[in-house]
Amino acid sequence: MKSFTNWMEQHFVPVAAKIGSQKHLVAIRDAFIAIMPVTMAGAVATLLNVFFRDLPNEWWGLENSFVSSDIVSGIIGVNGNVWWGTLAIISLVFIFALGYYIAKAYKAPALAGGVIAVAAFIAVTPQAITVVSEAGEEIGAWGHINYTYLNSSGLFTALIVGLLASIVYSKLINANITIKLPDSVPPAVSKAFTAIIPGLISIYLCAIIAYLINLGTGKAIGDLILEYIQQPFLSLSQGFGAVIIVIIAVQLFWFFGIHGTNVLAPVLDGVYLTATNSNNAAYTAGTAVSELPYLWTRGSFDAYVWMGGAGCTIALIIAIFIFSKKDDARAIAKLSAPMGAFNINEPVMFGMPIVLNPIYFIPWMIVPVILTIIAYAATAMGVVPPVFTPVPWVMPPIIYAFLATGGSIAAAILALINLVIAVVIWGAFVLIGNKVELEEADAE
Amino acid sequence: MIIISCPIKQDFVIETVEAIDTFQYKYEGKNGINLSFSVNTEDIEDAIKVAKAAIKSTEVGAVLYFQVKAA
Repeated sequence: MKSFTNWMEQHFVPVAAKIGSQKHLVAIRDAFIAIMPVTMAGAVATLLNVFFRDLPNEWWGLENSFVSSDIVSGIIGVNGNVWWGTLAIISLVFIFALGYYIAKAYKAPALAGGVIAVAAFIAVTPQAITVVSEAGEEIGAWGHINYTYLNSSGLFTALIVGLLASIVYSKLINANITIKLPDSVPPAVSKAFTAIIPGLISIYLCAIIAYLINLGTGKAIGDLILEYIQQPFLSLSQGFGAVIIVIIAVQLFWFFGIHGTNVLAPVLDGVYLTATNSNNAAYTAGTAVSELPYLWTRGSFDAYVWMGGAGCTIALIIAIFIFSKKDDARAIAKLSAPMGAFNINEPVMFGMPIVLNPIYFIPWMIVPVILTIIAYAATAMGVVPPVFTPVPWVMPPIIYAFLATGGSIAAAILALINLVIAVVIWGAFVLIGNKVELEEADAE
Repeated sequence: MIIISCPIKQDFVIETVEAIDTFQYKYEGKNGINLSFSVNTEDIEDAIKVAKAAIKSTEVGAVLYFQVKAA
């Protein structure tokens, strides 16, 4: 174990540190974190409409008296407004945060970085929509933005355009290609003037690229990115092998003392969170849960696998309460349980400890893999719907699965079954831990 | 006294924490993954925050999985 740890320290940690501190990846990660209040507001709106509109409609039929009542239809309308201002334009919110953090990473005025990224994004977005009249005639209308360019379908476009616009802007600022005003000018005015030339070049560059691409292909840059980058990338992430690789990688990182979800945040958030938001957009647009585009999303990991934290450590805490004869382990479990219920597992990870503990390496690795196999199969077979609602990661297990799937009882039951399986597997190793303790005591 | 639980890069953690200026941290010894430090302040909560922030502010520390707690 020690020689492997040394190898990790010398060869792996420096690489992980480089990835973890790569300024563009850090900016992407921080941008996803920054938009969380907006994502969560949209998720709450979606969930409330599931309980006030979708489930009652399913139970009592369309236009039932509950949904049609003034109060409930008002609540549904307000939720619709919240969704419209959040998840329906999530790419717009994201690109502002990304532009801000990229500029900050380059030590350029950050607010202007965000504003310029938003302008560049809109500059590459089609300015006209086509609507179909009641007579079936297609009518083009200029001056409208189709919101599907701004929702989760536009996230990769926002990512690419945001990076391009804000990097160009920041590099020009750093190269001092700016308008300089005397020191007597107030800082806010001075900063705005500093950003004029870099912002102008950056927005023009994106607009020219979008124009040329449209000229050459007849398609908007957003459509091309969606078709040739975002969808293939997300499809790749949906394979069973890809999901298992992510699970194993995160578990290995944590076990050896590396912040797994931090290092893999660009994959977890950039790919799987986009899948969550895409499912949400499809659901809100009226797609049945059985027809949602993505089977495995960011919330699937938390709903069915990382209950109580990575490794399903809430199951270990329960297993210790049931099987452990060691007073110290029971004391740690007692201390860890309240936080474990909210998916915080540092006390149990370092208290037992689990990190670098050979006894717990096997369950630490196999429990998440087994839970993933079960959850993936159940979702693929349609036993449970795919996760489509973003839920805060501190939501207790089982309730998480229920909410993340729009109130699916089957999903909550699946999470419970997974939890029981995890308790049984962890329990076997807690019993081994008891035996090791007894043998050590006998030897003394 | 504070304890920093960190399975890898322990030498780096010791070096980083002992280099903090806000308080004076002194490495006292280790027990498995746990590194003990004495610190010249009564405000242990603050000492924990400062040590945590110092480690996280480094390139390597940003990807380490560690815990800082009172002894």
